[in-house]
Amino acid sequence: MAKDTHQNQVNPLLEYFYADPTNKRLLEKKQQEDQHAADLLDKRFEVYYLKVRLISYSDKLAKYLGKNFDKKERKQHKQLHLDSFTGLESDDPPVQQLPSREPPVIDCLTERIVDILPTQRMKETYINMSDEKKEVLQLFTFEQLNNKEIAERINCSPQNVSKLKIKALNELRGVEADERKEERSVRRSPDGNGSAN
Amino acid sequence: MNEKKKEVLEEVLMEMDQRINYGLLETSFQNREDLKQEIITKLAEAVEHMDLIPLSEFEREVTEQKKARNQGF
Repeated sequence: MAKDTHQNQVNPLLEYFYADPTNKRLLEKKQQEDQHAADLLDKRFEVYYLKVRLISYSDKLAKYLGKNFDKKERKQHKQLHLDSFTGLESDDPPVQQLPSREPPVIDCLTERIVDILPTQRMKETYINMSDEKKEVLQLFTFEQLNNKEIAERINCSPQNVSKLKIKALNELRGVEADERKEERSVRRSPDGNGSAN
Repeated sequence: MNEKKKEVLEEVLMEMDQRINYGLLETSFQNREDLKQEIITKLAEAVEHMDLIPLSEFEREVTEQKKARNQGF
C-alpha cells in the first residue's frame, strides 16, 4: 500500500498513469485488497505501457527518418558541386590539382581524341602514345565502354586496360598540369607578358 | 497479432498521425507519405515483439532498479 504510493511518487510513468481518475480509483480499491480491481489495474497498465513505448518509438522513428532524409538531401546537393572547379590555384602536386574532368563526349561531330585535346602539347603527347593506349582512350571516350568491354575488344585483361587507361590519362593530366603551372608563373611574374609561350 | 496489441497500435496510429507529420516536417512533401508508411510498418513489427507488462511486474522492476541503485551508492 505504502509501496504503491511511494513508487508513483518517484516514477513519472506511474505518476502519469495514476493521474487518470479511473486508475486512481482502482488503486484505492486495490489498496483495500480488492483483487478484481488489482487485475483490472494490471490490464489497464499493460495497454498504457505498451502505448507509451509505441509512442516513444514512433517519435524516434520520425526523428531518425527525418534526419536521414535531410542527410541524403544534403549529400545530393554536395554532389552537384563535385564537378565544379576546386583547388586548381593551390600549390598542390599537379596530379592532385587536376579536376576529375574527362574530355567532352557529347560532341557528336568529334570522333578523334586528338580533336578534343585543348593544347598542342597535349595533342603531341597523345600522338606519341602507344597504339594500345590510344585505342583504350578512344574506346573509353567515344564508345563509352567499360574496362571489361574494352578488354574483350582488344584481347587483354580488364586489369591491363585499367592500367593503360590510368597511365594514358595521367600522361595527359601531367602535361595539362605543367601547362597550367607555367601559365600561372607567367601571370605572377611582374614582367610576365606571355614570353613563356 | 494479439487483439489487444492490434487495438493499441490502431489507437496510437490515430493519435500519432499529427505527431508523425510534425516529426517529418523537414522532409519533402513527396517523400512524407512514404516515410510515414515506413514508420507504420516498423511500429507494426515492433509491437509484435513487445511484451504486455502488467502493473505488478513493472512495479517490481522499478523497486529492483531502485534497490540496485541504492546498493551502488
